[in-house]
Amino acid sequence: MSHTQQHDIDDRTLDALLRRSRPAATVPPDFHQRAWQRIERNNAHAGALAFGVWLDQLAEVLLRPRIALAALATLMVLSGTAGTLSGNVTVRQAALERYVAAVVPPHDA
Amino acid sequence: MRKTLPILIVAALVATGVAVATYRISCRVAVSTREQPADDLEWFRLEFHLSDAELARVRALHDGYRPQCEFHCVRIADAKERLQQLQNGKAAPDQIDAQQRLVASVRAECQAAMLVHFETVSQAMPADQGRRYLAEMRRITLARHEEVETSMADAHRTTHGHH
Repeated sequence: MSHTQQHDIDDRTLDALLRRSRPAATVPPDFHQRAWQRIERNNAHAGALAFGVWLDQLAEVLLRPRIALAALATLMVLSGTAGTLSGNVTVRQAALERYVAAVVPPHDA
Repeated sequence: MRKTLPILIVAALVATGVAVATYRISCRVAVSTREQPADDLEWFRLEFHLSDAELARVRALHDGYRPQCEFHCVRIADAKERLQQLQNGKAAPDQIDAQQRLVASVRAECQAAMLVHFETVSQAMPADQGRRYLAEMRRITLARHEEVETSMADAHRTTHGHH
């Protein structure tokens, strides 16, 4: 048997094998719709996954001891300052009301 | 994510709690440390940062004005009481009108004396502070009069609306 003849036989065998390995399957009628639904579900899941990753990264940054302590300290300074200012306003207002009550007679009020 | 979200929520709640607590505590501390014994003129010290000498001048004017203010208050109270008696005793309308005019006139005198006092006090203070004081006192007294006028106008409209 020549070399060329041997090659022809191998090609035929290979074609037969390929035909058998790719059977012509019948596609159900709602195949496309279901395929797109699965794709959409996967996309939505990917969005949730991305949010989760972002949340994890945020938590990782915020909950580092140094950053958490710095944020807490800043928060305390800001709220403490706001509280002091508010207290001063209350004291001034009370003092003003006291003075007004002393000089503006009640019948005028 | 399932673990992270509750942790972040707890952290946010803790931060809010700390902020609210710090705000309230510092507010209370500011009020308790700055609260002074009963003094009508504490406002001048807090608002206008007057020196001891300036505050003494204002105090002298204030103390001098108090008897005047009390005198006017007594006159107004007497005039109002007389008006009430006339109205209850079914006095003649002319008499009631005259008494009402008297009440209005003693009130006007009181108000005029009060405005003069504010002017005098403002002149005893440094110029800028005096202007600010006078503006504030005019604002307060005018605002109070407007409140009274508005409430009386509303009452008048309501009464007439029911007729």
